[in-house]
Amino acid sequence: MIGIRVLAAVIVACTAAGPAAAQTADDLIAAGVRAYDNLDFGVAASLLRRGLASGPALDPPVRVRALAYLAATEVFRGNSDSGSAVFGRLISVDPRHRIDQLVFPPEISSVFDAVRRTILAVAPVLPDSSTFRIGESGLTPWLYSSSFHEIRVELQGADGSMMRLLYAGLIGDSLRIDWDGRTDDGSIVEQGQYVLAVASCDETGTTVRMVRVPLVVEVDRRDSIPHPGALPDSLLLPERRTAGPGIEALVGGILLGAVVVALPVALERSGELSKGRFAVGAAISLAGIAGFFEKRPGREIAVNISANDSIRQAWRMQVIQVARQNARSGVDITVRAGSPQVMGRQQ
Amino acid sequence: MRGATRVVLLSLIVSTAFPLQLIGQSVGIGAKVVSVRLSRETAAGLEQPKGTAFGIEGVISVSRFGLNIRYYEGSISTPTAGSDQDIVEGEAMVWFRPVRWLSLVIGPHVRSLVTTRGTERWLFLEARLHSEVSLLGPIRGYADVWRVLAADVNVAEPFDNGYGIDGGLTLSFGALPLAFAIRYRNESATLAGGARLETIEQLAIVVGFGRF
Repeated sequence: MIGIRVLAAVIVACTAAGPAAAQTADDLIAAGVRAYDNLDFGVAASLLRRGLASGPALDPPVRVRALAYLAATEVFRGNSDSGSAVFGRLISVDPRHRIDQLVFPPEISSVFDAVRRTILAVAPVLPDSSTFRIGESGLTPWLYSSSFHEIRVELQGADGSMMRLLYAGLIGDSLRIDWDGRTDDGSIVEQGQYVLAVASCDETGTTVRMVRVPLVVEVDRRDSIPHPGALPDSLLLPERRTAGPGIEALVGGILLGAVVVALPVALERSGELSKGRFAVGAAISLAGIAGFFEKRPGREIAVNISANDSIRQAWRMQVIQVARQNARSGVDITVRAGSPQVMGRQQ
Repeated sequence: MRGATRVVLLSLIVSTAFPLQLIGQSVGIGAKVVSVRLSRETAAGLEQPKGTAFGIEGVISVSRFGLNIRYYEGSISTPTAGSDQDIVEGEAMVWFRPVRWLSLVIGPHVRSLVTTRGTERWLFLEARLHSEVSLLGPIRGYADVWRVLAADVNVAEPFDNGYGIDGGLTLSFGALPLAFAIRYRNESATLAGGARLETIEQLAIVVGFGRF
């Protein structure tokens, strides 16, 4: 008889627990919100934590809502530190988020704002796929920040090397970045995988958070001309004199002058030599000495500077012409963005 | 004098007609006036006739090789002697420049001197070293030293040896094809074991086109 009773109690307990076990994360969070509304903060905190922990892949809006209510619940329970920590998690998930002041009272929003100002986080927003033509438009991702701080936005190659520095400076609430499809040296980006890297830096310049958005770039060239590479230094003439020419003029002038003056004396000759050799020898030596001062080391070579300016100007004109020609020819860039990945201590 | 006039006119005509700056080559041609002084020391004494001559010279170079041609004619005399001695001199030297500042030169050098004793013809084969450096702006300095390798001289004394030195300045403008040069030359020859010593000095001013 006792065994039957025990068995019946077990059966009742199992059936009573059945509906609770079948609750989803969404259900838990909804129940937690109801408990919050009923000012049952202890139950609300428990349900919200279970909901956040049980859902392997909560939708971001649902997670953000749950975190907001959990933070408010902890604050009302007197656990300000815990509430601030939860708000920190919320801002890291969605730096754009702002507390709904119609739902939460000022004491909650003030805690949220205080936490937000200490979090350096940026959320890049860009379309899943976009296509633009070189020279006509570009990729324009928006960056939304949790607070005013310094950021650095780079287009990086698959190996992490920087292909283009898109922005380095301060961000307030939001910022629009423009990328024209070119790398740092002005050439059109090659087809392949890239990363849009957004680094948030603290006041010392240290990166505290990094958001990396994988990009797949497809290039559709229509009879385009390769962009001229960087102007090689080998094409440019030296713009300052080295020591060689000056010393050569000095030593050569003095030696040649001495040869003209002295060597005839050494030759077997008849009669007295004319004085003409002194004039010529002296002219050679003086020209060599003057040449040393004219060609002294470090002195600017005006002719070479002018020639180099012409070479650089011609290269710039070539770059402009190629860019114009390519714009007319039409190079289309298609960028497909992946899911952002967050790294850093303020995740 | 008429001969000198002809030489000068011919030089000017050639200077203006000669094609300049052939593609990949360097050419120079000019007319020159030369002050010539001869010192001849023999057992009979020392003669030092001098005078002025006129001539032309030209150079053509391709890469590291080149050809120099020089010619002048004039007359020399001593104040005490009654008659002038006509002098004609020419040379054609080929050269090779293994390094920027040094050239190896070789070629024939001919001199003809009409004296009271008859016409002396001196034919030399000379080997020279030519050194040239850039001095100041468009001014370049040079010096040649040479030795006579072989000689054929129709004088009574046998030829022993001969040496020479030539040095001076050349001035070539980049914008204009004008060229100037001033040269000092000293050649000495020893004959009959020193019984006869011949030294000829020349101071020349050259004006022309291209690059010497």
